[in-house]
Amino acid sequence: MNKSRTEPWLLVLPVMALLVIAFVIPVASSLIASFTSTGSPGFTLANFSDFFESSVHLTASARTLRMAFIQTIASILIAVPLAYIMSRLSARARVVMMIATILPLMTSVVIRTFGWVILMGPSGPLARIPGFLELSNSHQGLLGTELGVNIAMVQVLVPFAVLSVLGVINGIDVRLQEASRTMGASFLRNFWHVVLPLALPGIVSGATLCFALSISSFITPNLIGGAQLPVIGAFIYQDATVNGDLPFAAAQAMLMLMAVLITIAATNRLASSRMK
Amino acid sequence: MADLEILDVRKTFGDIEVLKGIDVHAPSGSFVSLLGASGCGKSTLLRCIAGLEAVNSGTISVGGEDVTGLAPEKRRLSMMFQSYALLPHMNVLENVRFPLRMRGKQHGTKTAQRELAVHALEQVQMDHLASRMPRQLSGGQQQRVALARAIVGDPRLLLLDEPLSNLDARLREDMQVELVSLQKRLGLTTIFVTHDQDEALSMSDQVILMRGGVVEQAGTPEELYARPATSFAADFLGAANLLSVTSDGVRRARLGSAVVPTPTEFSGDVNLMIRQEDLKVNNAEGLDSTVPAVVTARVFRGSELLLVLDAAGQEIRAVAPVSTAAEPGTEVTLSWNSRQSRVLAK
Amino acid sequence: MVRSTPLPLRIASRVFLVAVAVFMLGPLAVVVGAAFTTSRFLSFPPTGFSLQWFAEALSDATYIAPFLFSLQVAVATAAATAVLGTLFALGIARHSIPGSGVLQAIAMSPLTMPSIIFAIAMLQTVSQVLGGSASWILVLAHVIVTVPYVIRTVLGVIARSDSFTEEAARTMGARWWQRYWHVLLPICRPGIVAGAFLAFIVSFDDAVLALFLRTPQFETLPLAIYGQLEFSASPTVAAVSTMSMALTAISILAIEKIVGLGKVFS
Repeated sequence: MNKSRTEPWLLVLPVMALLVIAFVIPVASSLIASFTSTGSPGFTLANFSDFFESSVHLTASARTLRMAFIQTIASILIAVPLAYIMSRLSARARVVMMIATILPLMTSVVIRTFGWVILMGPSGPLARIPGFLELSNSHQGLLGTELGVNIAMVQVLVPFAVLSVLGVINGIDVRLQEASRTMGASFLRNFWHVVLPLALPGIVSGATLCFALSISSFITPNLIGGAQLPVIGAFIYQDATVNGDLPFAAAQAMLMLMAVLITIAATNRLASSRMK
Repeated sequence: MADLEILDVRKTFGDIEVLKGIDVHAPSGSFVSLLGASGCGKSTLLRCIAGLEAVNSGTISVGGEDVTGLAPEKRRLSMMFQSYALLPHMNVLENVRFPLRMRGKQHGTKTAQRELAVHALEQVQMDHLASRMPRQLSGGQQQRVALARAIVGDPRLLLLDEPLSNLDARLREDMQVELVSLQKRLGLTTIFVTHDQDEALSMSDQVILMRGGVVEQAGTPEELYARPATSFAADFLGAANLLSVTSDGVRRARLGSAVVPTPTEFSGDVNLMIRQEDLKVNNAEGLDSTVPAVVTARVFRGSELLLVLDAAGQEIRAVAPVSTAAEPGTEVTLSWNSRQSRVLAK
Repeated sequence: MVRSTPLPLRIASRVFLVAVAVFMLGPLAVVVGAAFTTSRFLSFPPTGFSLQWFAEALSDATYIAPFLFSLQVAVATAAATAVLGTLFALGIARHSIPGSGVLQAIAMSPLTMPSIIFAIAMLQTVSQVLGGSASWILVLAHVIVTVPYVIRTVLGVIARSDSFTEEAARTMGARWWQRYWHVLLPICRPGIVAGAFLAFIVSFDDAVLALFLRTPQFETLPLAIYGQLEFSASPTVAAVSTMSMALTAISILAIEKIVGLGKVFS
């Protein structure tokens, strides 16, 4: 009987040990490292003051946040109706849409962005659409523009949003919707008054996830936006690998983490006050 | 097969005492039901017998061997679960062979084990589906496979945890008959947990009625039905009227304005138990007790009528022939033989 | 299900679905299309049809070594994750450990951590403790971010199985190792396999952790493609990308066949 009490702990121990060694400790140690400097020993706030005094970094931060905001809104606007429609499709059609959602999700972000690079270039297929070049940067097509980055990023983010919304919508009792329909609610009113409020937790978590993924991305912004439109992720990557200033990179990562945590806390509070 | 002896078994979950000193003796080859409402401790007792729960005190012996401290895998019992618990990745034959395989050498070679498994499947008429996977079977068929798996290899004790509760009414009646005849044929000592009094009464050699972690009454089905020891037992085991009466002299009870004889002496307020089928409507021939009553409802049941009546402000139910003239509102007399009634403490 | 959706809305939702599918799959289709071109330059729609860039890719050392390295990393990650995640899921699901909800939340937390933050944390620690990265460090990082997938798929399979099978096996005389071997692992198998496939894809396609934790000796396939894109994209890169996508698609179809995508991803 004693064995049954130690057995479960032995089962969870390997993962827990690994998480502590290779996840908790590294994140904690990079938090500590963000308060050190390559130049001087001991505790310092130099990394953070450097960051907030650098107009390049502040501009990039504003750009990162602005684009993350736009991309999150756009992704949710696509994902919510998509998930609702998917939940009502026949099993076969749902599998097709599921694959259409998951295949891009599981494809390397490098390859997906590659597709957009071909599409958006000045001689790409999109350039044949009248007015396209006027709308974009005429020498590079949509490459090098925030619009281009946003479009490509939304394609990256939509699957995440769809899956979190779908998880909640699938959990809504179909009979509840039927009940509301038999009580005279129209299709749209049913969506607005029954489905949407019940799906709100999924929408909130999906939005939070999109925002976190967006502000931390740098591969797509790099390949599409290029050097003219740097995002914070690109600075972190540069400082960590090219400039070899790990403490400064860590400090920026910690600021990013702070932004993510604040967003999670704020949206959760907003959502729970709405649901009361 | 072997007998089962349970002595003063106690079991607590946290602060809650679920079994408060249970004694049970199941003779070898008998069919014993643990009957009770949900939460009475009957399933916990069965799990204690199987070894899936450890008892706090008391002993459990099978065939004279004390198994109280043994792990379930070493008790050589078999148990059939309510959900059947078939292994989804094995076909029917492999499921039935599984206990033989786990117990190893004593059941011989693979071929010998297969023969035993096929034989067990034949006992439940499932040998023709031996190569199917569990998910390809209906609920009733899955249950037969689970039963075959429970009887294979001569277990010392067969434990059944509400095995019929997932079946529809018709199939369930068939299985009751079949299960008892199988049990008698194989001579398996069987402990059967149920909340259904009809099932317990119709199948068992002995019924153990449990309530709140104690044995309320134990005996043959006939004993329990005819001579319930308490009002609870009378109520739980079939349709009994419990009339609140007060003493009116020696072996006499007052029910409203009527006075009726009682089979035993008592004093103060008690319940007088009379079974529905023992009541006669407007027919006092040869009966020594009669009270006036008014029909309040009449339910047609095909072969008979169920009448709901009011006698001195108390509800009484009686079964009457279909020809009885008893529309609601009719005044009738209810008669019975006092020896068929019982005086029970409230 | 209510089928009385008004016709205009039904048409609108079909149009919407097609538009979304084109938006989601378009960039992937463009890469595939560009790989079959006959021209020496990237173009879409392709001019003509040729397999020459596939032949080129398969004989180009620029891609073969990274492909093999990515394959090794992904297989090692999938194997390690499958074992660890399964053990964890079994420990959580079958026993009432106090605080199992918290343990599970901790184990799932790498999913919500932006990978660039984890990447910098890993790089920072590794360079401090070991002086530099190594290929096993990349596998370790991939195990951390993929272990939640296996935990989720295995827990899902356990939740849908009959919870009494293990107890039933005990009453049938199965010792603890027999219960693992003959009962628990076979029941979990679809979840383990699906989780391992997911871990394989995530590891094989990862670029962020690979960028931070790369070593001069080894390059993964996504990094090789990324490098070419920054430098100059050619039809050969499109061919390599197409083959990589084919591997992903096969894995996804395998998961759909084994447990169903809907159950894994929500």
